[in-house]
Amino acid sequence: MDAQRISESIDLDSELAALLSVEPSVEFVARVRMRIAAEPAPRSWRPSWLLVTASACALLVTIGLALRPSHLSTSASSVFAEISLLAPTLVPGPMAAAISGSRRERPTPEMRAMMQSNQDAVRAMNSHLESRNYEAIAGDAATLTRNFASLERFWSARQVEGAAALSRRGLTVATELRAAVLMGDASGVAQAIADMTAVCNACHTQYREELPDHTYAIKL
Amino acid sequence: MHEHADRLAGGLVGVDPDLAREFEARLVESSRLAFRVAYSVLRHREDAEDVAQEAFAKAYRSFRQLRDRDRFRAWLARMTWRLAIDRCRASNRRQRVEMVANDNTGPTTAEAVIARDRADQLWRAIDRLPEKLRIVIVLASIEGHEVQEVASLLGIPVGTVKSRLFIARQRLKEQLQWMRSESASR
Repeated sequence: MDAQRISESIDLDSELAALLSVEPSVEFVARVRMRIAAEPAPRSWRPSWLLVTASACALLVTIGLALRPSHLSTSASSVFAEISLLAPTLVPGPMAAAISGSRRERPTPEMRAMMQSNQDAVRAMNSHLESRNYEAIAGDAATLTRNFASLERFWSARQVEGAAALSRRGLTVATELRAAVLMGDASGVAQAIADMTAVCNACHTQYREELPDHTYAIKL
Repeated sequence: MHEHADRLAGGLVGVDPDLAREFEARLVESSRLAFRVAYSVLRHREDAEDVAQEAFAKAYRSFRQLRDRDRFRAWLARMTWRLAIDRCRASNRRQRVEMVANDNTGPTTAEAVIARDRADQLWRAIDRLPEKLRIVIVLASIEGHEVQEVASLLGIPVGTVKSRLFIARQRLKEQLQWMRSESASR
């Protein structure tokens, strides 16, 4: 074949289009959703509550110092103590708790075991999803169902309604997961796993706090 | 689609449901683009999916900060390209392109073998292009993007895209001509 004929036979645009007309796998979008569900909520560009609260505190300190008679002690600790008492009435719930000090509790060994079991089950489900081992996913879902039922009782006993609600949501998702496995609904399974990851993530964000020694406390 | 977004928003406490819905719409419309951009660099489906997934996760983390949401595809395409290049450099996986794996599984008729050889030659020719030309030719060949769309995706003037496309096509043709003459003369 001479150079002229070779040149004429090159239909570059068609060859390029054929080369790049690859399709992602059918599970791709579901996997992305799952990954996103595991991400922390997007950061807001708007001023955060922390900033608003810090500004409010600074303003209170300034006003307090300006109005205080000069013969009284104005130590920083006493001003802060007053602000701490005032905080719940001045700023919204989460930040007021941060200022005045919300309750923390070390997780019981049973709680830690449940969390570990949940983590293992979610990790295992992701790998079982990769290998399409739906029978194993059903087993993981059963573990999660048991754990979330216990978690719901744990949080209800402590009257932490938000965490109890998330536990109920976990229970619902575990049930949906088992149903999707039984029906052989692959996208339903992937979606339920994504939802489960989101539930865990949401609860950890709101009700778990990492301590300086890298262990965790429960926020009540 | 809204059902997915609602479930996502329901699961992620604190996320604006409208934002979740909007992101879901962007995910659905741009997933193929991100995958193909990553694939054009990595030539490996699983790696391409990993990288595209990573790009979406990054996009999600900063989605609220993106003021002009119409720029999402451009933003995503560039981010995916960059991540894919990084991945490629890190793992040096270009040697393990998917075509090699296909050799064992695909059809083995003479026509199929010729088609694979031609695809292989084209990939090698693309690899030899400088990055600026490579991204332009790849984006122009994905989903039949027009010159204006490529310019918008890359944030460069239409004239620049046209000239880069022209040069890229010329170089690819020259490379292919040379490679195919070589293999024909063997």
